[in-house]
Amino acid sequence: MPEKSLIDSFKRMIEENNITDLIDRYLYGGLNEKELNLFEEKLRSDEIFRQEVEAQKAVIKSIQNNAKEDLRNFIKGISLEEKPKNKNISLLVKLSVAATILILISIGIVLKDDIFKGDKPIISNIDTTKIIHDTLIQTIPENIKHIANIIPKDTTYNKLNQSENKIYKTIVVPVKEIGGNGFGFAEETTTIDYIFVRYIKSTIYKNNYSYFNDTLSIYTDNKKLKEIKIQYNRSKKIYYFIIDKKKYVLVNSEKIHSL
Amino acid sequence: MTKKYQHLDENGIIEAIKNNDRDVFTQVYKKYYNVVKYFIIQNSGKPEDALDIYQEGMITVYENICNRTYAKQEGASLKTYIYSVCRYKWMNELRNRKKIPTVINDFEDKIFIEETTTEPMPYEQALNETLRQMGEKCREILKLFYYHKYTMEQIAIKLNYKSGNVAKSKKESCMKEAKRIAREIINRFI
Repeated sequence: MPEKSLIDSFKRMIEENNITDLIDRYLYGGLNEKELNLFEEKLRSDEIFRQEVEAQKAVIKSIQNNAKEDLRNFIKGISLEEKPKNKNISLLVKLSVAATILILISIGIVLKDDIFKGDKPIISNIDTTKIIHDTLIQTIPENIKHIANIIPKDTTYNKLNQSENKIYKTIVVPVKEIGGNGFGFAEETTTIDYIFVRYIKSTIYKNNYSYFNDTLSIYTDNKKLKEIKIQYNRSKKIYYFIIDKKKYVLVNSEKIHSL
Repeated sequence: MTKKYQHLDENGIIEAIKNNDRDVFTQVYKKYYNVVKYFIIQNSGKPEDALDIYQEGMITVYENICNRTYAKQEGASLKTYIYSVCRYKWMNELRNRKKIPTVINDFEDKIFIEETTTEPMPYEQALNETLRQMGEKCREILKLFYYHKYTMEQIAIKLNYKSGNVAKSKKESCMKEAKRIAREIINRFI
């Protein structure tokens, strides 16, 4: 039998017009053991109370159904297609482009003299990808730099056109966070990200890769596609991928590297 | 892409979604569709399957952010969670279609997904429609509390009540009226 004080407090809860709260607490697991026993006892013995609980359950479900339907309609209204770029470039834009080209030509004429004088011009052909590449090289400990092809040096700019490329397959590969220092094949833990991997048949590149815009492209002429794993080392903040038991650092660049 | 979205970190995005910020939700929705689409297409699905699964998946993600199930994840990003929920739904769908899932790069993730699917009661549709006719304030307060999981204080701020207690008293009276309607409808079906 429930204690008299609990029966009193239960009565008081109902008298104080907190019946909705009480039923909410029951439905969402917010009653303590004694309260729960008392509540269930009341459910068994009081038909009107049982109907009250059933009605509240039905109302809550109905409210959730309606809210879910509203959200579904809202989601269906979201367009997932990219807006086509406006091909009608305004006259103002055309004039701006023309003016910019003229300014650049003028700068080029001025700088040309400097170049032939032997001084390093202010505007130089800086290869930003190489800077990132070199920075990454510096972050790799000396004792593991011998691991083949961590960052290949023979890079080529991606100048393939559509006719030279044929995508075999695009897959989504989970990125696993790894322990250890990241260069050993340490144990993988949780999935923290996903990256697209495209296998591309190319007339120029047979065993290469590039990583750009969240997509890893593997250039191959072999129809049997090689399995790829992608890992992330949180302490070094570096992504790697593994193919043919070799490990490569993912550097965001349009360059094509050798595998 | 909105400026607000661009300046939010992952926690900010989650908070914004929790606060029912439709702009941020829209940006998230647009951003991760392709990942899910590729996964489904490469695993026996069609583009229309991808869209259906993604829409339902994003509803589950939204609900799990609101009911704090998402907060139980440790270390997994929102992108990973969205992908995992949709992947789970697609695997279920394939099983329902009696197709054996052949997943490339398959993996097992420990993700928390809360989904309750119960058989619809015979009175359910009538009740849904009738409760849609309730006063706007009542519908809003009950929706914010029972679906979006707002606290009474948050509801008071959003709906311009003086305090959480005032909001709570309003919710109580709205629920009383809703239950009266529900009892009438349920009795018609008994």
